[in-house]
Amino acid sequence: MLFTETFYSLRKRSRAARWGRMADWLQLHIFTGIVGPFMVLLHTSWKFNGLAGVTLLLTSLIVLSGFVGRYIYTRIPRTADGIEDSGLGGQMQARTLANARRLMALWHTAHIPIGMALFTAAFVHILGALYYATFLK
Amino acid sequence: MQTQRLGCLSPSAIISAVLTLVLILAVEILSGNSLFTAGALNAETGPALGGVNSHAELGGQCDACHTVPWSAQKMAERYLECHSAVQAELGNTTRLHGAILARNPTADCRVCHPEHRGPNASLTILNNSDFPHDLLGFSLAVHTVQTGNLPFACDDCHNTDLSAFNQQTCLTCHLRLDEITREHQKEGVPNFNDCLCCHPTGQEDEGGGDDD
Repeated sequence: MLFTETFYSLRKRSRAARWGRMADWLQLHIFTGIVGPFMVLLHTSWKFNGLAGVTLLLTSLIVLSGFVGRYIYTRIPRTADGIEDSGLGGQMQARTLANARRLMALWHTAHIPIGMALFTAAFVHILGALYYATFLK
Repeated sequence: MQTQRLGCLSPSAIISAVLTLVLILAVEILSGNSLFTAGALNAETGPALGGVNSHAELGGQCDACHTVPWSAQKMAERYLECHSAVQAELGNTTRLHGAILARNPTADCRVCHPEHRGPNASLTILNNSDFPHDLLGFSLAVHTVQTGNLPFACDDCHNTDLSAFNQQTCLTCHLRLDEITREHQKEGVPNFNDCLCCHPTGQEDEGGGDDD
């Protein structure tokens, strides 16, 4: 799940890469962003203590943030490839479009740090699990 | 490939990652290793072993039981440092732990004695097919399946305490079988409260009665 989220970020910021349409990458990002957390929930065995519980909390936050972001995303006109289309924007009131873009930028300033906190907590959690369980002799 | 800077490398993302790491470290230090625990340790008290009366008293001292992955010492060896009575049994196949080890040389303490399952959770999980009941004077040879062809589970006979066996359990099952009751009465054994006296291994023909 973490890898697909990272690949989405990489593809999104690539100017030259042509590996798939952005709209498809976003679909994959949303799919893994919903199915992955569900699998994380199963993985918890309904135990929410310690760092694993914090990681689940951050996972929940990022999913909620993702739903909000998807809503804001649809407020901005885009091409079929998922690229922002300023031409289509002419059909909207300039003020509405500016608000949507501002909201999107604001959303990014929250979504990415939450995502990084999640990645960091998940990474430490995985290291802890390897140390205390998987490699236990 | 020309790329813009990744979102994860933006200042807010880096600050978030560093802050998360610092918080994890701080909570780990202040809470006494509670961040990585899989659950509370068993709080059942017993004789002092290794300076404590229960595993719960070791809470936060992970290295009391956990060895580092690159250590030559195994966790079981650290366990046996405290549980010296079990250590003494291992080389003797007539004793419980020695018999289990003889039957399964790769057996690990953790397989039957899982931890971190809560203060009141049982410290012992046994599969009756692995447990050498015959060593304790009761073979399971004729108790592989119960009425209805269902396999026996440990708590069918031991209720909640695996180390104890109440013979009332025999009666609870067998008195329901009218034929057995009639047969015992016919054999002049109207009161059969001590099943193991005549059937020490649970075999029907041990009692010396008429088995027609």
